[in-house]
Amino acid sequence: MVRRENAHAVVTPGEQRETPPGGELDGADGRRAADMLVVDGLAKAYGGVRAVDGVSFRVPAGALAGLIGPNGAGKSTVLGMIAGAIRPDRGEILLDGKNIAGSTAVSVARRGVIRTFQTASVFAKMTVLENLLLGAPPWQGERLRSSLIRRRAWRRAEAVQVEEARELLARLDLTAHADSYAGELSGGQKRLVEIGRAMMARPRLLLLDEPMAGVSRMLAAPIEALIEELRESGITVVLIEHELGLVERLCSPVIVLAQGRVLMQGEMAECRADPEVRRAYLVG
Amino acid sequence: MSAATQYYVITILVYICANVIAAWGLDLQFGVTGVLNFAFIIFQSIGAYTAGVLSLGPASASGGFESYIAGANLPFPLPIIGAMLAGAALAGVVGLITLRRLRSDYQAMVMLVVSVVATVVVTSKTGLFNGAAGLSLIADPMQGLAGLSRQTQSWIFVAFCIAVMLAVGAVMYAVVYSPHGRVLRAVRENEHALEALGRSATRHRLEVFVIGGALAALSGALLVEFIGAWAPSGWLYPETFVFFTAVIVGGRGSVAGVAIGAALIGVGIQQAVEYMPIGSDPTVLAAAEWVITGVITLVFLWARPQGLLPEQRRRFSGRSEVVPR
Repeated sequence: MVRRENAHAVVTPGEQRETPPGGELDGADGRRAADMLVVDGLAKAYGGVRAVDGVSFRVPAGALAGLIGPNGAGKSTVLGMIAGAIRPDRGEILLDGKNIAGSTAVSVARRGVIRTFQTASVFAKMTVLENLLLGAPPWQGERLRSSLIRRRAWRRAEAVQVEEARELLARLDLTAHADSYAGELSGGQKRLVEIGRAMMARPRLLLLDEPMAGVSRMLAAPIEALIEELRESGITVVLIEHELGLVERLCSPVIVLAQGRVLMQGEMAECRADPEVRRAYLVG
Repeated sequence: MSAATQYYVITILVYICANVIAAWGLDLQFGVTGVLNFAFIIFQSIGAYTAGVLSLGPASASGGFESYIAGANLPFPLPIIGAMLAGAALAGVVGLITLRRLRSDYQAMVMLVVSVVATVVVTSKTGLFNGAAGLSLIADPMQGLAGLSRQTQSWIFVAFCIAVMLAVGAVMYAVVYSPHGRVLRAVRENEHALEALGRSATRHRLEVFVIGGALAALSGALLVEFIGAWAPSGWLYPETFVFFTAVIVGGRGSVAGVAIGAALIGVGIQQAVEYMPIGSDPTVLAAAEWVITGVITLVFLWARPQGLLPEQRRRFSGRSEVVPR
C-alpha cells in the first residue's frame, strides 16, 4: 500500500523528484523493470480548472489496475492523456520506459496502447464483423494502392482476419449479430463489440473506460469474464469503473483519484479502509 | 436520327458522364468519408480552366481577345491530364489548410468561404482566366480527326467520355469495396474511435480530398472540351449543392446510386424544366431548377435519407467480402 503522503510526484523545474507511488525505484532510470506504465506528475488544466493535478502512479506489466474516484476526479482525462487523445500540460507517461506524453492518439495506438470510451464508440453504420476487422492492427491491405492493385494478396490476408474475427464473435456470443449494424445493438452488446475490437488489436496496454456503464445485468457477467480473460492472457489493463465490486474482484493495484490528484494506490480492501478515501469517494 | 436530335443526345450523354464523374468524386469525400466539401465546384472549375488554357495556346495568339495564364497548345488528352493534376494540387493545398486542425463543421464553413473567394478572385483578376467573360473558343479536341464528319467526331468524344466514366466507376468500386474503403467509412462514422485504433483520420480525409478534387477537375475538363467555353457565372458556390443533392438522392456511399442521382439531378431536372408549362424565360427556368433541386433535397433528407439505392451492408461470404456486381 502506498500512502497519499508520497502519492504525488509532481515534477517541476527546480523541484526535487519525489518517490513515485508503487514502491522503491530501481534501475539507472529510476523505473522498476516490471512496470509497463509509469505516469509521473501528469497535469492538465482547462482554463482555471485543474482537471488533473500532478497524478503519478505505476502499473506493472500484466497487471489489471483499477482507476477509481468520484465524478470529476480526472480519471477519464488521465486515460485520455495516456491514450494520446488529450495533450498533457506537463508530466511524463512512460510506456516500457519511453515517454509517450504528448504523442498523438494514432502514434500511441500504434505502440500497442488501445482504449475504449466512456460512451461505447462503435462504427454505427458498419456491421459488427467490420467493427472487429477495424480492430486489427493497420496493415498493407488498407492502403489506397492495395485497393487498386494486388487485390488477391490482400484478400488472402483479409480472409485470415475474418476468420479470427468470427472466432472472437463466437466467444462474445455475437455470431448472430455479425451482419447487423453495430448501431442497432443494445448498449451492453456495443460494449462487447468495443472490447472485442480492442482484443483484435492485440494490445500491449488496454485502457477500459467504464466498460460496465449502461450495461444490463445479463451482459455484465460476460463482460466481467472477458476482462478477467484479458488479464489472464497477460495483457496489461487499466480499468476505470464505478462498480467497486468488480474492481475489488479483478483489480490490483487500485489507484484512487479525487479532485485531479492521487489519494492512494494499493489493494481495494486497503482503499476501502482508508478514511480519506472513504470521505472523498466511498461515502461522500 | 436528325442532326439536331443527334446533337441533343450527344450533349445529354457528355453532361451525364461529366456529372457522374464529379458526383463520384464528391461521394468519395462526403458520402463515403464524411468530408463536407462545400467548395467542390472550384475543383471542377480549376479542371475546366486548366484544360482550357492548355488547349487554347498562348494568350498572345488570341490578339488580345482573351488574357489568361499558362497558355499552351497541348495535344488531346494532355490538357485533361493536366487538369486532373491541377485539381489534385489545388485540393492538396486547400485540404492541408482546412482538414488538419478544424472540426468538420468549421471545415464546411471554410470551404464555403474558399468557394466564394475563388469566384471573386477569378472574376476580378482578368489576367488569370479572362475574368468575368471567361475562356471561350476552346477547340473541339476531336477536330484533328481528318476525314470524319463533325457528328462522328462528337460521337467519338462521347465514347471517350463513357470510357472514362466506366474506368472511374471501376476505380470507385475497387476503392469503396476494399479494406481501404472500410477505413474511409470508419472515418465518417467515428474518427476518434478510428484514431484510437492507429489510423489517421486526417490522412485519409486529405487523400480522398485530393482524389475527389482530381475527379471534379476531370469532369470540368471533359465539359470544357465539349462546350468550348467556361466562365465564373457557371461555377458559383450554389452549384456545389447540385452535386450534394445528387449524392443524397442517389444514396451516400453507393456507387451505382450516386451515378443515378447525378444523371437525374444534374441533367434530368434541367431537361424536365424545359418541358414544364412555365414559359421560356431563361431566368424563370433557372429559378425553377433551383427550387426543384432544393425541394428534392429536403424531401429526400426528410423521407428517404438513405437515397434511392442505399449504401449496401457489407457481407462476408465465408471469409471474403461480397462485392455487388
